[in-house]
Amino acid sequence: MKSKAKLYQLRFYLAFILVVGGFYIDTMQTGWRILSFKETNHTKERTGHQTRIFYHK
Amino acid sequence: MTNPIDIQPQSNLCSKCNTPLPIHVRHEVYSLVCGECGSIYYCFNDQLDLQIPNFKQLPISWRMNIGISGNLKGVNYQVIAMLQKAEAGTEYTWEEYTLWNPIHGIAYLSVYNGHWMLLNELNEIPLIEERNCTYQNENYELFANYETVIIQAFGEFFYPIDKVPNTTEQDFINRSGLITKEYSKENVSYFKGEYIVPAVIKKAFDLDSIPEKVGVGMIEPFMPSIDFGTLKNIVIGIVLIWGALQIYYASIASDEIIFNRSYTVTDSTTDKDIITPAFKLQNGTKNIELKVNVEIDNDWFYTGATLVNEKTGDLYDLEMEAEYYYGYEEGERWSEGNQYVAKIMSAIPEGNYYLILHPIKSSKVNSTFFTVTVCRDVYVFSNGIIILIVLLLFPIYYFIRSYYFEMMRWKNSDYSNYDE
Repeated sequence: MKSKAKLYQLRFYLAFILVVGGFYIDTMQTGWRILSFKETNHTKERTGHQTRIFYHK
Repeated sequence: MTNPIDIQPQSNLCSKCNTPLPIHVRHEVYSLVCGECGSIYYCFNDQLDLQIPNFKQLPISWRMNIGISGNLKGVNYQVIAMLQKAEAGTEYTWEEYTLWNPIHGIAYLSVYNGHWMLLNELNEIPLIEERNCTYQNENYELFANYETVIIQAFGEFFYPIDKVPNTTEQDFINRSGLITKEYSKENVSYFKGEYIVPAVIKKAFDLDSIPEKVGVGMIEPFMPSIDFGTLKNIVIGIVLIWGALQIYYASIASDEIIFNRSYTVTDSTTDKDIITPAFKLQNGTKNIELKVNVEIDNDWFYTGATLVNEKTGDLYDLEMEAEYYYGYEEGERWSEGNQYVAKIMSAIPEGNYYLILHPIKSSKVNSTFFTVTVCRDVYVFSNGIIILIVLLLFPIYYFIRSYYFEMMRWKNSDYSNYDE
């Protein structure tokens, strides 16, 4: 089997690599941290912090 | 269909059971075996000469009929004979069909446990050294070494079928196929084999049914639509590009300190807002890292932090918690937590901003001193790790499954390198 045909058989995976790779480059260009997507709350109005109740030793 | 076989077979009848004995290859056939009673005939000048003794025709659960044709690998073959072979001293048996095409000659179709192999005789001699075989720059490993016996046969043969000696076969395999060395005292032959998916056989010969697959075939490919070597090269490519991107993004991240100021929280200022002086974020949309260093000792500290865009009023909220405890228990020192906390605010557009801090200290101390630092354009390594894991999920799954598949394949071999 020629190498082109072998690559063609993996076309869906190659497309996946392009999409995920593009997403990665976009996150790095804009400084978007994937893990912190829930940490920061972006709003137009200040709703006040959810003051935590701490239980310590 | 290419190479159509349109030669009419010569008609004969078995002198013992009157079963038709068609001859497809005519002048090249040396011996003929009746599929019904096992009588063996030698063929000379279109005359059949009955030989004694004959083959016992034993029941076979499934077999292809002699004379049917099918297109395999672009060649239109006709099935002209079948041999049932066995490994000497064992109960293992398999069938070997002789395929014939007037232009391409002879090929063999072997079926064992529902796994099919197409074999062609080689004109070259592969290099064999102990348990390794090299042919056309491909390496093969010894899988099986056994003596074969013909149990029964029917159809037409180019040699005296009743005088075929027992042969020894050595099967060498790799991911793409098989090299078989078949030898006796008088003769040595080499064959190259490739796996044929059962459905292809069924379609090619227009069969109503075929034997069910059992276990893993000797050269059955794992996920035949995916080439192991190509996937391996893609993975190497991904890792190299990923590494280069990590170096690139780490080198261009400015990690510039934009704001740095210290505050003290007392009983009267705890749980109240602190508004910082404004600072400017530049160079488009980048992240910022908010760091809080706090002097706590077996204590905790919390602050809410809201980044406010002076012009648009956009707000970005974060909650920062630090705790640091230590002690000495049962002869061992222990500590947990840190006197700092750092969090990233993603994708913050350029502009003038200020922070609203909302610190809360514990009631154990009268005051807590803390420092807030804002860094612009921080390199985020975790993104790269997540992306790498996501990209490699499929290859990791493939390689693990492939490993177990190979292990199952080599379970049938006396030469397996896999641990039991």
